[in-house]
Amino acid sequence: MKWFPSFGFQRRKRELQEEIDAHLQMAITDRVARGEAAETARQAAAREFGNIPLVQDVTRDMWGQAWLEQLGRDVRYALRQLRKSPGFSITATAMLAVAICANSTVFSWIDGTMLRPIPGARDTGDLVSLQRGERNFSPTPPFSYLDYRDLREQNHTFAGILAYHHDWITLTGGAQPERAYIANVSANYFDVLGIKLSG
Amino acid sequence: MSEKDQYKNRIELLQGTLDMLILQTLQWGPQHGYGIVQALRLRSGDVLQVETGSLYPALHRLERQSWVQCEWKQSESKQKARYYRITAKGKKQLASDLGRWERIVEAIGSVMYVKPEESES
Repeated sequence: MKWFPSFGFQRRKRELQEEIDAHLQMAITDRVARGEAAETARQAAAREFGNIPLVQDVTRDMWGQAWLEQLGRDVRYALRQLRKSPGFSITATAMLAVAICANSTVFSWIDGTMLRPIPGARDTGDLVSLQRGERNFSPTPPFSYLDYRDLREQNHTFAGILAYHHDWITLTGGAQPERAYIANVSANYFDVLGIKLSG
Repeated sequence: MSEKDQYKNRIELLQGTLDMLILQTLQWGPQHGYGIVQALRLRSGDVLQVETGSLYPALHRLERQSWVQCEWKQSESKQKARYYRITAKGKKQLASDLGRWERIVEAIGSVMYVKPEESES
């Protein structure tokens, strides 16, 4: 089974095998010429040569491709294992898919709401809310417009101070009256947030 | 694995010297692996017995560094063998290896044969 045939590597391996065979053959020929029996000569030559697979192994290390062959073997082994147990493969793939989806969803939510809460605004990390009384989404008592004006005019700490008040209104005049969520804001609202209105 | 490491260590210990010996052998003409072993043994009066586990990695390393070139040829006894030939680059390397070897021998010699009057403790 050859999934990633590496012709150059296979050819060199074969060549190394032939080189070693030639070495052994010449050693045997020499020994026979000195008067040894063929079988004794063969055994002696093999003993003298040593561990053939080991010699091939350390020689191949010199080619600088050993890691590539190793990697190919590992990948083929992994694929074989996955194919052997499709249930495990499908479960693992599905779990990975769900995990990756969940992660990217959570990240895009954090990115949209916490990292960049107001699209187009500059330095959202420097935004603070001013309120008095207990910390609350609808603080009581709220600042009056005069309070806001005093704060804005005597401000030495902030680049700007804006005021807003959110509310629901009803739009009439169309076929159906419509309820809309709106905010009453001070005139410098977009300036302070750094939002450039186009058009 | 440990056996393989042993081989590697041996190559490292011999590396500079073995490369030099192989290149010197090839100076006398192209030769195959078996011929190099025989030549080294004969020239050294049976003292140097190069192991195949050191020789073949060394030959293939020299080939990779373009210090030797290879071709398949028939030997005198009609045996097809891989012959190694030294290149111009290999000859340059041999000269520098030899220079380094002579410096080492000289340095070790001057440590080992210090005259008694120079080595007062």
